[in-house]
Amino acid sequence: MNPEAEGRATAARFRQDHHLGVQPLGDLVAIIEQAAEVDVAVLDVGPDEHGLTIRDPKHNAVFIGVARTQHPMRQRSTLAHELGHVLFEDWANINAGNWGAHTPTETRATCFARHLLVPTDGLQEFIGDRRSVTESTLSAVVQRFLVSPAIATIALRQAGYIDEETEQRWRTLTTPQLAVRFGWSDQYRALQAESSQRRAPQRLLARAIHGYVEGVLPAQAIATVRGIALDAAEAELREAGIIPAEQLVSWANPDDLPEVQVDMGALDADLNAPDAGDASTAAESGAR
Amino acid sequence: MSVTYVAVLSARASGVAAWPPMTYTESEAWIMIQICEVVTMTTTSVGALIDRAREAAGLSQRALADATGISQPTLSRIISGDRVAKIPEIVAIAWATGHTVAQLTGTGTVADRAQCAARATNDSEMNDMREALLHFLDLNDYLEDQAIPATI
Repeated sequence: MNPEAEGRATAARFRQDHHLGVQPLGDLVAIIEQAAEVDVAVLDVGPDEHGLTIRDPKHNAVFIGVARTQHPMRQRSTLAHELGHVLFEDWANINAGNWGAHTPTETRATCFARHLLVPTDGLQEFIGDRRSVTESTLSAVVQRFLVSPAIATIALRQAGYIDEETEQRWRTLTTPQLAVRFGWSDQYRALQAESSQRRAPQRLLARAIHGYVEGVLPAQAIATVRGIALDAAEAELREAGIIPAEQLVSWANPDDLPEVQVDMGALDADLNAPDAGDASTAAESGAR
Repeated sequence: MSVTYVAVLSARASGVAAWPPMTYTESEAWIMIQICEVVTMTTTSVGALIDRAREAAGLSQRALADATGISQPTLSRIISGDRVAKIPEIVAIAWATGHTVAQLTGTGTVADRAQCAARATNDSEMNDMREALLHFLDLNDYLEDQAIPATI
């Protein structure tokens, strides 16, 4: 199978397995966390086109990281791309380097992302058998499926709505251009606000808070995961009624320990020449 | 057990402020387990790891000094690699920055076994994100060791 077909099939299977239908995927972070059981973090690092997926094979724990950004559609395609890597199990040693090359695995993950975000049947259901597909239609697809005009254009072309020439022309359009022109720039700004918001990996954070309650983690660990100051984290935990459990340890007095009787006879026999003093020392250390 | 207990005693004796005082708490248990994981370490790399943890926790050097009871000049020398950090100091820094001792001493094995799939233009620009995600893996590994169950 070529990367395109493989990406398409896997995207369809993912939607089917998780009962996602053919509808647009709203909060992609939550969908990935809940459906794929993979932790997602939106981080305050690096240039915004970046995504990284990392796995601990020992616990089979997977974390997807994407940068916070003013480009919400790009962040969504990065997230979907990384999910593709998780599903295809494209694992490499962390020190391998040479990332971002146009290898078949990268292409496959990109195809998966496109088909996951805009499934052809979902697009057909949305557009129907409309004859004239214009830039206004493109804008509606972008707004509805929350993808870049480039991805929407490829999907429209693959579904046979536009010809190659139109595809080439539309691919250079940007989301802000369409949003302004077709009157949904307010919604676009709301999407920008969301994608530029830092977001802690929810499952890990919940587990860490459990660890905090059990007293095995300091509040600072929660603050570090969330990327906020210690006081803010402490205040938030306190207000939510989350406090570390008191761990009472009952100390025992060594004198209360029972006398331990150890029969050193067999050892003495083996050692062959025991005297009384050695035997009592051995018994003492045995009791310790 | 006796080794870690001595370490806890020595930490108390050194007067690290953040140290829980007279009662034996879960935090101390945390620290005892952490100490067991420390094997060997080099001064400069520990300094760098401590500085990274400090930054990840959003603490200034002064704030970290206050939180740990280590004097700021001492902390600065530890970070620059001029002075070897003592175990109680590392433990106090770990607690104050929300990191594990293994992370600060570079003895964690998570980074060695971690695998990744990436999308980027070049390697160097991925470092920050990689560090952030490795921190999550380390924390997850630690919680796994502590038998803290996943709640969701």
